[in-house]
Amino acid sequence: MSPRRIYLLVLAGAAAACALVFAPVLEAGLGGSGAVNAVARLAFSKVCHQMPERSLWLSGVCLPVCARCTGIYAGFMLGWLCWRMVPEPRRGRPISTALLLAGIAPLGVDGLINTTTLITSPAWFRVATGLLVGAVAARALWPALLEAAKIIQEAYRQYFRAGAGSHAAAIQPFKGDRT
Amino acid sequence: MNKPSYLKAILIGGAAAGLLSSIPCVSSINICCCAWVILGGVLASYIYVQSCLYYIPTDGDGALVGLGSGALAGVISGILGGLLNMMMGGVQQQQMEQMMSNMRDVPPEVQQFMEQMMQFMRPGSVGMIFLGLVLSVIFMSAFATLGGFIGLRIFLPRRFPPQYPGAMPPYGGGYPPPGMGGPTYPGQPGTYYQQQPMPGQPGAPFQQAPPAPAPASPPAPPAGPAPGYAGPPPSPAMIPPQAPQQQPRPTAPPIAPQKPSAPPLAQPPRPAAPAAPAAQSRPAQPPAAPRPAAPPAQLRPAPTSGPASGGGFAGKAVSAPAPAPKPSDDDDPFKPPGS
Repeated sequence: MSPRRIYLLVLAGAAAACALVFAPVLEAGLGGSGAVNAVARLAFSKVCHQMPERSLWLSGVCLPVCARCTGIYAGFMLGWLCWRMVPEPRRGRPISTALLLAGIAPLGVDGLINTTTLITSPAWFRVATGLLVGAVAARALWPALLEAAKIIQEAYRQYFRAGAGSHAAAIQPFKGDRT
Repeated sequence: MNKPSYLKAILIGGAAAGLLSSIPCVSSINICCCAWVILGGVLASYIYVQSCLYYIPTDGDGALVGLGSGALAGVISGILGGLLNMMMGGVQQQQMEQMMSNMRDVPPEVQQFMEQMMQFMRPGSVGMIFLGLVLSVIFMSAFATLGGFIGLRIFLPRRFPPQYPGAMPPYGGGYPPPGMGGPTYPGQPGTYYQQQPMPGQPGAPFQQAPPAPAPASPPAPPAGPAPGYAGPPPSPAMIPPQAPQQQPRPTAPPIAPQKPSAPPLAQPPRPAAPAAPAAQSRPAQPPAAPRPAAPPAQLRPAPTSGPASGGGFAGKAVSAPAPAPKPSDDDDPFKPPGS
């Protein structure tokens, strides 16, 4: 799979997730029956707590994920789009571990404080930390996904090469006997 | 030397994340941005890194392990969650109704939203369970991929620690950057450690050609009379005593020219004896400190079979230091005269 296809595949997935996050708002604006909201809630029910008091409300509709997850999905989408504009030698360079942890640390600290204490951070702060994590994840996963695609391709080639080799080895004695 | 399989890591990480995400009370930890899913990916990556003996995994390996564990976690969580929703749906609906009856001063939009949620939380059909299964597989795979990548970045330097050019790190930390004398990793990710074979195995260092069974001297005549001897049997005094066999010790030229004053730092002399078997799997470490000039190594010929030969390795290079002259009492300058 070429890097372009990997990029487009991940971009399609991220766009679908973002669309599913904001689809209930569009559905409410169009006067829908709430089926899209139900599907979206079901989709994100395993990866988010979906508490209404910690979620964003747009046009009187509660988004199906919390503010942090909304930021993560939006940040990943934006980061994935922006990282494409970086020239190639720098784009494929792996992210440093320090930068990765520095991008995740604000969200982790904020979540820990909100869980263990009575302090509740404002919604904009949760969205901002989620945006940061999403952008860093997009930056980190691009080289890793390229590596993963190479590994899969190599395993695929080896599997079929071994199959062809064993087949040739199996029929070789028969050929020798005939000649 | 094969690349380790992903299967064990995927099974353990995926099962842990799937079970923990399905249990109703425990799954509330997902409040911290799908923590169980990410931790499942981290666990899978940890198990995979620990299973790598010589292969240095890449970021792609971590992402693939996380992806697999997330997919498995999605399957487990989707099935168990669907079953639990079917069994406990009535209980959850009763709890929601009780909670809504206790709530006062609720805005109408929130009340409408809660009613919508109650409608949604009714025991689902098989179609909803299947839809939830597919969606949970997709989202859990995405988050677990990130978890696997993070886990690999965390645990890889612990499993394959970087090597430092000096024997001791600088006091108080502060290593110089890579390329300026800083840490150098034993290998690039995606490659293998250069496994040092054990002495005696093919490809072992200082491996010479196998010893030829060439007799150094003609076989000693038998003690008894030679065949065809017609005379009287020889007396024991006439039989010459058999001298102990002594192998010639040819001196080989030194392996590398060495200066007597200071050894070169770029090409330090190789260790005289092969390393211990426990240290064979480690890569060659850079020299810790300048060593004093070692005596030239000599090639000891292959020992012949027999217990008297000592059973050493064939053709190994050993350092044969010149025997130091035994100090005698006459050469002692501190010996008082006349004593």
